[in-house]
Amino acid sequence: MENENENFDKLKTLLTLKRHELPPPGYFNKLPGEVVSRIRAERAADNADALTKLKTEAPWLMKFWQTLQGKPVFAVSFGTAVCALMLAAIFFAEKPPEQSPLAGAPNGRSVPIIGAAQEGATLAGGDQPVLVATNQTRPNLFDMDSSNGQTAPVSFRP
Amino acid sequence: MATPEKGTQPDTPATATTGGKMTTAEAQAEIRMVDRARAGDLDAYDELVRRYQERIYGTVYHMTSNHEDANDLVQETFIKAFSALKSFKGGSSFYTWVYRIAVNKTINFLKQRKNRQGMSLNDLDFNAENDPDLVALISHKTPRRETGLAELQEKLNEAMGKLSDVHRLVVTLHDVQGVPHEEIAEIMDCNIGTVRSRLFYARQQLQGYLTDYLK
Repeated sequence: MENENENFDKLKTLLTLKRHELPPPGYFNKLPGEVVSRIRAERAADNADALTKLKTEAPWLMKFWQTLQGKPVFAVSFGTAVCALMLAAIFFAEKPPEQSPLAGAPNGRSVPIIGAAQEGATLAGGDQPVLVATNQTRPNLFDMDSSNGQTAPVSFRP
Repeated sequence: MATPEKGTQPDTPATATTGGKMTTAEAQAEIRMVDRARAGDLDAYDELVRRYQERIYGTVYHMTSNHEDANDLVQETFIKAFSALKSFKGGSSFYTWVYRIAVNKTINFLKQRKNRQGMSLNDLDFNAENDPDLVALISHKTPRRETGLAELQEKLNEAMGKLSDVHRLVVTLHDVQGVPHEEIAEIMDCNIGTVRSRLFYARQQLQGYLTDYLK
């Protein structure tokens, strides 16, 4: 290898000429900025592509969006409606669950409401009672007597 | 362009072009910068581009002998590297990884460019005229004493253009840019023996093409 290096010395000297070839002045000051600009442009193009894709796949959504953009009143109304819906959802979500009367209760007895302890209690508190609660014990689902703490079939005859 | 300092020995010029071995702190700083760039921080990536642009440009330019082509390829290299940063696992240095992208892009470009061999050479800097070795080469040892540096530059680029892509690459990396054999092997994904044999063959070829200028 030593001989080889010696043989190629002149060539290597000549090749050093390549090291003196320099790009135009200021080139390396501009290059990073150009690279970053192109990356930003590609990102923007990707976003534009996503919008185009949305236009193709969901034209109704784009039409709706254009309507919102074109008519501010409609946009405000829509926003208000959405907010009202959300508030309503939150309001009702916080209330305790209410059980509706069981339809077709056996023996024609009235069906009490769970949680309403007194007679004449109403849900809304207005003049017209909406749902009436009674003090009667609530029959269980299978019409069984559970007054003494034990559960036994009502019509059981040994 | 990243070039070794004058006076660097031809066979051991690695530290001048590669910037030498990075210290641990520098390596960690670079890893942090790469992480930030991976997360989409373009300021961090701008810094990485600034750090390696000269070496990458140098390699691509010496491979293509065309500034405009080199400019396009370097930009595409850094853009591709940014979009592929998520796949960079850190198995090699960021520099080697980007270098590989640049080399692959350049070789693909040269395969497609077979029909267009136009050169667009950069000007030589002032130091070339003051380089005693080069001055001696053109004024005393060359049979054509009227040969100027610009003509010598053109002949040298023509001769390099006759080499195959891999041979031109190995000469560019080692003899022009001073990258050590080990690093070239990593960049070219081959063993050191292959690098050495390619380098020897490429030098032989170049010596044959440039006989008139090397007497």
